[in-house]
Amino acid sequence: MKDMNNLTCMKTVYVWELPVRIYHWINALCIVLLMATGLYIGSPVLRPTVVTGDAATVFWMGRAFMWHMAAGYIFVAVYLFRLYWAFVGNEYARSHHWPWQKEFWLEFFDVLLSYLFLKHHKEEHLGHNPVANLAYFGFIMVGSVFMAISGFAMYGELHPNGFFSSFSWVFNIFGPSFTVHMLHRMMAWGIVAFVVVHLYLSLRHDMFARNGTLSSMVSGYKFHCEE
Amino acid sequence: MPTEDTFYGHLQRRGVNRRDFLKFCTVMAASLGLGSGATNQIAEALETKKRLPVIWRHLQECTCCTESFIRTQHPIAADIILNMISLDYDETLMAAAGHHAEAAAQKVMEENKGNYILAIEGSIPTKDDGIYCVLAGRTAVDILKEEAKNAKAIIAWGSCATVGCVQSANPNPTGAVAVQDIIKDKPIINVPGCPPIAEVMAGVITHLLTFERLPELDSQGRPKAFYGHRIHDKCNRRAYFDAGLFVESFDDQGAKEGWCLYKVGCKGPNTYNSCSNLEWNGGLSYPIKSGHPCIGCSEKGFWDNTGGQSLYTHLSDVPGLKIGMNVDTFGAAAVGAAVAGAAVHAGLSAVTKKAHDKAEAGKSNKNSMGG
Repeated sequence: MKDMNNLTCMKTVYVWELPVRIYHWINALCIVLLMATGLYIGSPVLRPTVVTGDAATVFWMGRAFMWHMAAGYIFVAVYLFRLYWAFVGNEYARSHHWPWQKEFWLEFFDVLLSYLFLKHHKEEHLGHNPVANLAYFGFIMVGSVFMAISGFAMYGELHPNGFFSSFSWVFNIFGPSFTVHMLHRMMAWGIVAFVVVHLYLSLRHDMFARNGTLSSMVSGYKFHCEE
Repeated sequence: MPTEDTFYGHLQRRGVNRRDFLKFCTVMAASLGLGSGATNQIAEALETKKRLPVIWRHLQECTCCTESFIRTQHPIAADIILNMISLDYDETLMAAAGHHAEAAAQKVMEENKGNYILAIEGSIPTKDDGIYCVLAGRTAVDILKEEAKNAKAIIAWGSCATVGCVQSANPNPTGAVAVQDIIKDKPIINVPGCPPIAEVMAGVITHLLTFERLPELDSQGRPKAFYGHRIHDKCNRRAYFDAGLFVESFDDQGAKEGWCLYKVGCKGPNTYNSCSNLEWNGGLSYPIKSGHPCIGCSEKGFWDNTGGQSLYTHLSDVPGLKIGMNVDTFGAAAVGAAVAGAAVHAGLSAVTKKAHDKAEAGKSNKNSMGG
């Protein structure tokens, strides 16, 4: 690692506005909570040695379900807020190209080549680069919507005459209840895999570009540094 | 016995008293979720309306629906429920056979054009021109299409007729399909289950006769009164589910204590049926109460849902994978691959970065020497 003293940080850029940062961390917390409780709901691994007592005194599954639903509501709420912020926030709060546009793929392959060590970039994207954009689009934008819709559809099963029973069309599209549970779980694992890659790449960018990627999600600022 | 006879007239001749008759009406009103006011409506309908002509066809099936139906335990004996309808054709229950039987079916169709009910038990094989189910020299597809043409409505009894059940399970050698896959222009009441509960079947027929219209159906064509709730939500072991007390294997202490069967593959949380409230054999018991997990027999694709593996697992296999792998194993593998990929990428990044820095340094050295 080179001596950091040689670095001159020419300018600081305010990339992530406060609402974006708050969204990010609440969303992260929700994902952790949802995954932890969701894993237990689908496959209650805690053996009777952990869950002791009788049905009148313990409420493990019930509580897991309650927290899962609570986190799910917050997950949807912050998602909707983030969607709103894409319209009113700064230029880094939204995508400028979409996967159905040609420009998107041109930039995408450019960045992809650099991730594959086939090309070297000096310039860093300050906001999301196109590869990150595609991941966010698939896992966060579309993935979250799928998780929310399938989740609320399954929640509606508990109350067949309640509000969420209006999501019952989900079962006509994706298959019977059993299949919807399976797909919900598969997407959840997909989001965990996304989080792994997301953590690795933010760390990598922070180390290699030395632009403060990691701290930017706390402070909001990224740096443009030169030697 | 003339077809125009009313149900009550028929009962009277059989020596059933009015008290038992009204009891039956009350039970039906209750199980249909109609409230006490409907008892009189049902009684009146059964007293005054002529019996409903029904053709009951047995296609690709095992007759478990009929077996279930004739075992209904309600106040009036089984044969009387059967007589609520004018069952003019039913291979299993009719005395006639051969040409006489087929003639009876023809007669009903001609005499009651647009007024008879077609009840179908079993799926319909479509592969190889439907030769895998042939009655009186004609294929099941053929018979279904002809008899459905002038029917008032169709009742699809059981999971076979509703979604195809075991016959349509992968790889579905006979190309078995459900009634709703073939008949598109008639009202169809889907009554899934393998078999459906007897009282559910009786309830559907009572509703048809009393109100002369279909019971309220859900988006999959099932009567809401019986298929509106999951078994899970009325389960007598539900408290153990919420508590997190699960049977781990069929011979452990939890099984003896009657804990929740979720971990040994219970499909109650995914299954819409009346087993946990009406129960079987006249309200005696149902699988979960007896200590066996629900296999979800009234759900679409219940044979294939776990990837054709054991019914005693509740985590589904990932569809499309030839090797059986449940969704958690698959997910954990995907996350493991992501971690491994990140590690490899990090290593490569470090190496290329070093090489790049060296090249840069070399370049600047050269520059300085040149300068």
